[in-house]
Formats: sequence, structure tokens, C-alpha cells
Amino acid sequence: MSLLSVRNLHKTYGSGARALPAVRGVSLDVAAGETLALVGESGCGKSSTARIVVGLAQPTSGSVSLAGEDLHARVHDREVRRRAQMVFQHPDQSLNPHFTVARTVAEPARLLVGGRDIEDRVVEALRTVGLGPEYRARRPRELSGGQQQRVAIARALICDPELVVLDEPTASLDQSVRSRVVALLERVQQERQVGYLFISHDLTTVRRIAHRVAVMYLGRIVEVAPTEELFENPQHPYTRALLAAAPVPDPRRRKRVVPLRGETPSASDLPTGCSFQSRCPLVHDRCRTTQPQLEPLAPDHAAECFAVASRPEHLGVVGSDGRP
Amino acid sequence: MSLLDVRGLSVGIAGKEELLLRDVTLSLQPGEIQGVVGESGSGKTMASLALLGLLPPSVELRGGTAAIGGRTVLDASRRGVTRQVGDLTMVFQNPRGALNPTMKVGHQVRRVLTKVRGKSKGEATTETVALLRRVGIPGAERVAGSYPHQLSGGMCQRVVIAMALAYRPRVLIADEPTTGLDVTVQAQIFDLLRELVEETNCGVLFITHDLGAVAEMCDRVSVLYAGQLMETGTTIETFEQPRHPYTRFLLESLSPQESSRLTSTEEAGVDFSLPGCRFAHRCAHAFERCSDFPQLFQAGPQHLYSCFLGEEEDDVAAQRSQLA
Repeated sequence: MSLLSVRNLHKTYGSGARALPAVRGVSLDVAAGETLALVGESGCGKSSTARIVVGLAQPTSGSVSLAGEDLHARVHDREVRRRAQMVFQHPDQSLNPHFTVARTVAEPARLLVGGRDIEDRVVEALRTVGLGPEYRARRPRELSGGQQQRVAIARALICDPELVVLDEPTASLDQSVRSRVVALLERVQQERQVGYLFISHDLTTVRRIAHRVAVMYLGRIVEVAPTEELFENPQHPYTRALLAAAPVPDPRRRKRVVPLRGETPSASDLPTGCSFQSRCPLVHDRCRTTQPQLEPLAPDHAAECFAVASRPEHLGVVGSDGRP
Repeated sequence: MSLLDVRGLSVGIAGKEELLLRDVTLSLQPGEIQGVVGESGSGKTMASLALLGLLPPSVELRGGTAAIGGRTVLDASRRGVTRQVGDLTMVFQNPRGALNPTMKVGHQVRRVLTKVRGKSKGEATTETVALLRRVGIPGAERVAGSYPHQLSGGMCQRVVIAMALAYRPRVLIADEPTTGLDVTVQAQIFDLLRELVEETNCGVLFITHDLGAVAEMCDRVSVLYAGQLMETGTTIETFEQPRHPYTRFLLESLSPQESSRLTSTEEAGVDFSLPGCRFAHRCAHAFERCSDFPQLFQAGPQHLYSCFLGEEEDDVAAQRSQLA
């Protein structure tokens, strides 16, 4: 049984003419000790999904279960909340500037678990993220961005959660700091078998940390596959464009093609049929009328595209640069 | 002759001795895109603000000159040196912050044409729409009548680039022009910048911390650390035969195997008061000479680096070749 199981999740903000469907039928699973990366561009619904998964937002419909228990039925149960914690994108905004590090890190333990050994557990949580006990009395403004993110990770780990949702945890950090935070997350996962839902648009970091990757576009998962399979053999035209667009730090592998024209349409004004049709190089009539569904292509690999599903022989013919 | 020639640029905080930029030398050819890379606090933005004469009030110019097309535009020892219209302009990191939120974007582009280029209102209006179309904005007439908050980040950045086009600069400084934009949009903005360079033969200083973007975009690259120029060379030479230990560090921090054993810049801290090489206290190869300030050494016709180690290595190599 998987640790996290999300089924047919929908989230619509607003209603009537101003309804904005941010998440439109997302299903995903995360096993204990596994990292599932959720990648996609701004406005694709990845952060909405993350907030629903930890109980910070209510879904419009669909279910989220954590270790077999319905999260949203028991969202006020401290034991359920303890199990799923979150690390936010901007540590300078997600840490209370008036709190000391010790108070910030202790807060979830105090609210969700209690007990007399909180101070010891704060020291232990800080040690896990590589910060000494001397950091306890400091405040966020006295810390660098990387240290702030370590404090945010310590806060998420202090209650010993089973699932940690990481929303772009490295986006605001320099490369050398980013690498160290990723190494820290990997070590914690190995030690504790915690599951990660890792939200990111940084494909280099995703390739390094994730076991599986789900690609989102306009509120739907358009492709999901094991990490190497997705990077080496992407099927959905959006996945291919996304991989082709990411710069590679090798000046001899420069590409002068623009993989995708135009911008993501607004979620409040979705076309019928496939939501990628306005930018898709493989678009045909059926895409304009019918919504494709995720179809399995290979073990653990599924994509939501008529063009790919109807041509299974196409599998394996795509080069690593994302072009057929 | 270089298009832009910066020599010995030094800036410091008023009333303090430490220099935020120390003796920085840059040269840019017409039609060249040169990457200026460095981590947070390396002085890459400070250098461009100094060139534009936009240093914050607390920061003062301590030394150095800059010339565009042979004409001095900045001289720390002389007052009243000014730029000419069309010398230099900048595309800022945050496009929404660079636009006036109370003014329609078309009007902002038009103002550059009327105030700077002396066009009549009618001409300017026609050219504004043409420019917006030129930077790939669909429905240019409609967008010209929009306010910045009505446009996406990618659209705002296109408007800012249209303003830069309207200005027709000989040197364009692009300060992290795609930070915060999606990768597929980033690829489009990169393409636009390349077209702009091909069309107008202007030179671009491309400020970034993303080595992938440098590999993708730049003919040459200059590496800054703690306000000191570490290395400058063609992109291929610098990536394949980095001469400065800091450049090697930056390139190594991209690789997952190497990065976990490196100390990040943030943890190590940056000391602006060091009289010698500012990287010395972190450098595995540091030796007694590093307490002096290293001048630029030549590794190739266009490849310079600021490190005594290379000189030693060259000596050793020379001795070896003599022995052989």
C-alpha cells in the first residue's frame, strides 16, 4: 500500500463565470522512502495540489489518503496532521521573523505532539539539518537563505512525519547551497524512509533527487514515469518541449531551437478537448473535441496524449534531446 | 577596439574601507553576448549599476574608467563625465518592477521613442505596435493598451525588451532577464535576445547565476567572486579548461557527486576586507602568495584569470617540457 494516495483530485477557485479550475483530476501515489517530483510551469496547479495534500486547502472533490486514512475527513486530527508536513518555497516568508529558531522549530512539536522533551528534540532536529545548538537563539534575519531553508526543513522533520511536501525548496538558493540542501534531503530520506512530494520546475535538481516524475500542465498530470525513463524517453509533446527548453551547462550542446511557441493559456479560459492543443506540434482534430486520458505506455510510464497512445511503436524512437 | 572597455572598476560603501568591487576589468565586443556569473553578493549587479550611474546613495565609486566605443562614459577621477543617448541600457531582473504600474505599457514604450529618439507622436505610436509585435507579443495593439498587472511575467519582460529595442543601445545589460519565468518562455526570451544582437550588432552583458544559461547563450564569460574578477574567457575555454579554482568550484557544484563535498559560498562567507585573493580562505590550493592581490594572468589570447596558482602550474609545465 502506498503512503500517499491521491485520487481524482479537483480544486476550483471561485465560481460561476469566474471559476478557475486549478487542479482537474489529479491522481498520484507516493510510497514510503520514495520521492515523486511534480514538475510544471507556473499556474499548472502543482502548488495547489501540494497544499491540499498536507491539508492546508480543501479539495473541491476527490480524495487524499495518507497511510490508508482519509486526510480531509480527519484534517483536525493532530495525529493525521503530524504525518504530513510541508517546506515552503521562500524561507524568508515562511519563517516568522519574530520567532527564534528554537521557537519556530518547536512549534509543530508543541502543537501536534506535546511532551516534555521538546527542547531536546529541537536540538536533535537542528542537528539533523546540520545546524548546531548555537542557532537556537537566532532569528531568521540573522541567517542566510540556505540556513533559513535548513530551519524550515528542521521544523518539518521535528514531528517525525511520514510524508514531507517540498514546494520548490531550492528555488531561491545559489547553486552550491542548493546542492547541499538536496544532499541533506537525500540523507534524511535514507535514514527515516520518509516519502517526498517534491514540487519543482528545476529539472536538474529533479533528475537528481526524484525516483519518479509527474509532469503537470494546466491542472492535469500529462505524463508520469520513473525519472530516468522520463528524461531519456519522454513521450508527451509537452514533456519533450519542457526538457528541450531547459539549458544544459555544456557550451558544445547548444541548441538554437525554441521548443514551444506561445504561453500557457489561462486556466479560466480552457479549450474543450486537450488543454495543450494551442501549443502542440502534434495536434489533430480529435484533440480539439475530446479530453485524452492517461494511458499506460510501459510499466510505470503513462501519458495523456492521443498522438502518443495511438502509436505505441513510437516508443523508444525519441532521442534524448526530446525530438523524434 | 572593444565596444565596452571597463578598467579597474572599484566601488565601496561610503565611510568604509572594504571594496564591494575591486579592480574589475571587462571588455565586450560588438555583437558579443558575454555572461557575467557569480553567486549572490559577487558584485555582478553592483558592476552594472556602477556603469549605469545608478549606484545606491551609500555606495561610492572608488576607482576605474569605462569607455563605450572609445569614448569615456565613466571616470572615477573626473566629475561630469556622462553617457550619450543610445550608449547603454538595462533589462532588469523583475520586469513588473521595471515597468510603471500606473501607465499603459504601450505608452511606456512610446515615451522612449518620443523622449529619447525624438519621434513624433504619430510615428512613435506606429513604431510601438511594430516593436511589440517584433518581440513576439500576440495582439500587440490590445497589449499596448494594457497595464503591467494585466500581463504575465513573460509578457512584461517582452515589453521591457521592446523598450530596450526602442532605445537602440550599443551596450545592453541584461540582469537575470529570465529569473522567475518558465523554461519554455525563457527559451523564447533567449531567442529574442540573440535575434536582437544579430540585428543591431549591440553587445550584451548577460548577468546570471545559471551556468546552463551561460552555456546556452554566451560567447564569452566573466566569473566574479566577492567583487573580484576571477576568470574571463570564451565560454568553451572556460567550461572545458577553467584556470581559476573558483571557476572549477562553480562547475563542480553542478555535478551531484562532487557538490556534496564542497563547502557552499554561503556557509564559508565572503570577506570583503581581505587584502589578497578573496577566494584564498576557501581554496584548497591556497599558498603564501595568495595574501597578495593576484593580477590577471594570460592563459590564451582571450583567456585571463586572477590566480597565482596558474603561473606556478605553467612554470612546472615549462620545466617538465624542458626536461623532456
